[in-house]
Amino acid sequence: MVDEVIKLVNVSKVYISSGGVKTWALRDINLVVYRGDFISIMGPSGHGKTTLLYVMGTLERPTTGKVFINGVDTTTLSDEELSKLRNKEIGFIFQQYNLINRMTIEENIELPLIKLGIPREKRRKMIEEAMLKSGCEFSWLNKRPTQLSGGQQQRVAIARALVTNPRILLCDEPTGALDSKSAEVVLNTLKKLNELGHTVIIVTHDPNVASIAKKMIFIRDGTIIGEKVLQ
Amino acid sequence: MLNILDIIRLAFNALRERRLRSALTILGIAIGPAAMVAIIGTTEGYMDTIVSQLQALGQNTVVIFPSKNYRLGDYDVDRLKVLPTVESITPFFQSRGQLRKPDGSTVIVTIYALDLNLLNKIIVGAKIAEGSIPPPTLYTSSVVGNDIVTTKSGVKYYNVGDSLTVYVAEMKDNKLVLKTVSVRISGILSPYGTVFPVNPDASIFLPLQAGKSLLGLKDYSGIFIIAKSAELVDSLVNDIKNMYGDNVDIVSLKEIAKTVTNIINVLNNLLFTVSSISFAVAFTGIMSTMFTSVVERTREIGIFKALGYSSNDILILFLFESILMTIVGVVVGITSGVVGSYFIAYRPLRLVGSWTVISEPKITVWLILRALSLSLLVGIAGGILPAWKASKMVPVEALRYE
Ligand SMILES: Nc1ncnc2c1ncn2[C@@H]1O[C@H](COP(=O)(O)OP(=O)(O)OP(=O)(O)O)[C@@H](O)[C@H]1O
Ligand SMILES: [Mg+2]
Repeated sequence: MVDEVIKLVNVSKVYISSGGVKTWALRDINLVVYRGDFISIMGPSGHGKTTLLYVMGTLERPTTGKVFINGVDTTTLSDEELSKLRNKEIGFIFQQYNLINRMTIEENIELPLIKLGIPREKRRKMIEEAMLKSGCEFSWLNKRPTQLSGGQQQRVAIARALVTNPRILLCDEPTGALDSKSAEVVLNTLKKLNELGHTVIIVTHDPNVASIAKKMIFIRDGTIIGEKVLQ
Repeated sequence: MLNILDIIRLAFNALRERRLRSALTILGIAIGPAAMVAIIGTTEGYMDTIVSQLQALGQNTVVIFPSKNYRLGDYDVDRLKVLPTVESITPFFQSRGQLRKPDGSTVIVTIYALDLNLLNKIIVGAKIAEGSIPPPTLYTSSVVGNDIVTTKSGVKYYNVGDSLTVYVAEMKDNKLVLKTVSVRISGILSPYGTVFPVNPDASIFLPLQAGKSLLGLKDYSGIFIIAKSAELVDSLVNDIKNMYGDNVDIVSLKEIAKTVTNIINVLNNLLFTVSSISFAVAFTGIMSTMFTSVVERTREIGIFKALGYSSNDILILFLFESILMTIVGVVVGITSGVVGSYFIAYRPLRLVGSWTVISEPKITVWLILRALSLSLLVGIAGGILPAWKASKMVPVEALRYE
């Protein structure tokens, strides 16, 4: 049971637009993610990949169904409890890096530690460890995100996702905005992190990216239509 | 709960990015406390001085004037003299005259005839600077105020022993005629300052007998009564009311000081209310700044939630931006209010005639606390709705927001 890091049971997600139009972003998803998994979720644009990732990461509550993280039913948790869970157990990586431009690299990576309640003097060491793991250079510490290339920013974003040492890394098109060389660096980093024990899930519509995972899941119209084990 | 130092750091970081807008909002916040401290500080300073001047005039003094054609005579003095609360009493004659000074200018003076030995009780603090009080029988000898013997610029041209020529208005056969009166200066008072209810600086004081023989008056203009103590003034006033009903007007300095204090309190509340309105500027300023900020930072809110910040954390972070701006604004406002009040109070306040009041502004802890708490209230009130809106933002929509 403990090895079931994420479990989705009959999860559906319906968006109702302001005009009252219903969109079924997810339909009846059942999925178990085990510790150490490296999964890629594939599917065409607008078919529910991001929604699935957000539901798994508790950023989004399902309309129906249940989401378990480390065996805990998250649908019954309060906003504060969910936030703490995300802070401690889940790291998000986005296509657009989503760093905060007015803050330095150090301040960006520090953000999850503030929430976690780590005393200030202990933060620097944790930040540096995360930077080492994600291939960042310490000379960036006092720079702003806009002074870095896209590939460098994405590595900072990975460091920020890693800094609380979460079990799960959820990546939404992490290479979508990168040139092939930077993309390779990022993917290798993710692969290395998986080898270090993190459970990694990547959403992508690029088959080349998807193929570095150990397992591929195909999604269409909000439903899982198949999976393929690569290793 | 986030660490308070981290909250402040994050809030400061966010405000610094929008320097100009934050500065303008802070300026708007500063207006309220600045106006409040400057206006109320200055007026309270003036009022304090006015009240203490009134109190210095003698809380024991009661003056009665005839009304409704009642004529005051020796009979009245005898009736009042025996009241148990009365310490001393003197009737007085009062007239107006015109004094021609050696430089050719003329001034209007008030002439009193009364028991000169009571002068320093009626005008508390009045001092004879030169000469002496003339005996009651020398009814053409006088004690005069400082303005009588000096020019406007303070040059002295009359001395003890000199004679003054004053034109006094007198009723003769129902006609007003000017009569020339010559008085000798026997004593000169030190400059006094106040003009209410007696302006000693521009007055000539003669022995009581001069009223009839020199000024040609028949009835007393009024009676000065000194009570045994300030506490007995009320009972004295009551006794006089019972004796005379509407036939006399009673003026008690204690009563006046009380009335003035009441007026001041009303005025102060009014000023407080008026200056409170300027706090509305802060309220709308904070609200619009923060609402704009929330909309602009929608994506950031989504990121914070993805990193594990809860709705409450977001609420606190945004609220603290308002609070931080408010604190800076209050400090700026109160400081400039204090400086401003000294600027305003630097100019003497001119009341009536030559009665001017110079006073330090009165900046009390209470005043500062009022300005501070009102600002904080406004800051929190203006910031809470935008902060609440930020906290209620759905993270996914915030993250998808471009
Ligand atoms: N907040 C929302 N309100 C209404 N509909 C939404 C909302 N968010 C997503 N959707 C809809 O849900 C469906 C799934 O969206 P999702 O973003 O998960 O797709 P995706 O597979 O990630 O697409 P892409 O590859 O373009 O990122 C889409 O049809 C989208 O329009
Ligand atoms: Mg997507």
